[in-house]
Amino acid sequence: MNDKKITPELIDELIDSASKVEVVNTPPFFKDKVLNRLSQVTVERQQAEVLSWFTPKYQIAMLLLFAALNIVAIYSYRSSSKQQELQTFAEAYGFSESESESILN
Amino acid sequence: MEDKQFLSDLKEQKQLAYNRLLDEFQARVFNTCLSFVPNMEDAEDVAQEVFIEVYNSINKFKGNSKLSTWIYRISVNKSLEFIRKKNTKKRFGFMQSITGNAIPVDKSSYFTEYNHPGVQLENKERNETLYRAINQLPEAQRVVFTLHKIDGLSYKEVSEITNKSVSSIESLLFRAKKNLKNGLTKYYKKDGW
Repeated sequence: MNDKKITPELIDELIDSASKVEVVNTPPFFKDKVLNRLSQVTVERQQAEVLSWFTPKYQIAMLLLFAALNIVAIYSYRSSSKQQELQTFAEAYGFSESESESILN
Repeated sequence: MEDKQFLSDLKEQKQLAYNRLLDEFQARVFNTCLSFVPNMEDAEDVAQEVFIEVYNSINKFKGNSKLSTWIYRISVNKSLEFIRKKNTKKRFGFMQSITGNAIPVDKSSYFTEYNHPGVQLENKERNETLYRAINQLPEAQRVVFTLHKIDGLSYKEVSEITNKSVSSIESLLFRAKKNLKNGLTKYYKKDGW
């Protein structure tokens, strides 16, 4: 379409050509592909349903429990290691009760 | 077609029901997607997504409209979503080329490679131009023009799909044609977008 030929009628004709687009057949195996994807969706959904009870409130509760357990574990580890350090110190300098009660003394 | 048994079979996700649904709707859905996304491969992907969406959302279908209207609505939304995503990617690619992370992008190119098998070869170039012009219309006008002119749906069907009155469909179509005329006239005067 060059400059000379452009008329409102030609533009109208071009716009009307939109309704002349022919119906196209679906690509081969379209139905099979869709059915295959639908069965995949079903499988994924079933897998997701295994942990479906694990909702965010349970997830938060689990997280808090995990954090609390960690805090308790760290606290008890620290207090026991402190005691052990004292014991080692006492043994090194001969303040330990177990050493003073030795039969050699 | 739209009997209650069929609908309940769809809701129970029985494969036979989906076989029937595909037999009935695959051509219509594919052609609607192709009207919006004029590329065989892209339209096929979008049409597949439409059926996946139908499968996932069938329980939300309350039966307030016809099943076909609901499926058309999904087809339109999925096609528009696809176009938006493609356009965003193109803009992002263009930004990258400006900032130096150059990925070669044809800035002027359409959101997809035009490949519509329903258009005769001698009209291909003209139709490609028309599709580019349609793509530049505001979304509401684009949807109405595409559904009525390319898909051949009646005003009533378009109004049901878009949830608008018939009079507003007429008005949108009038404005769409006017904008297309202006756009195409400018295009041919300048010989480019």
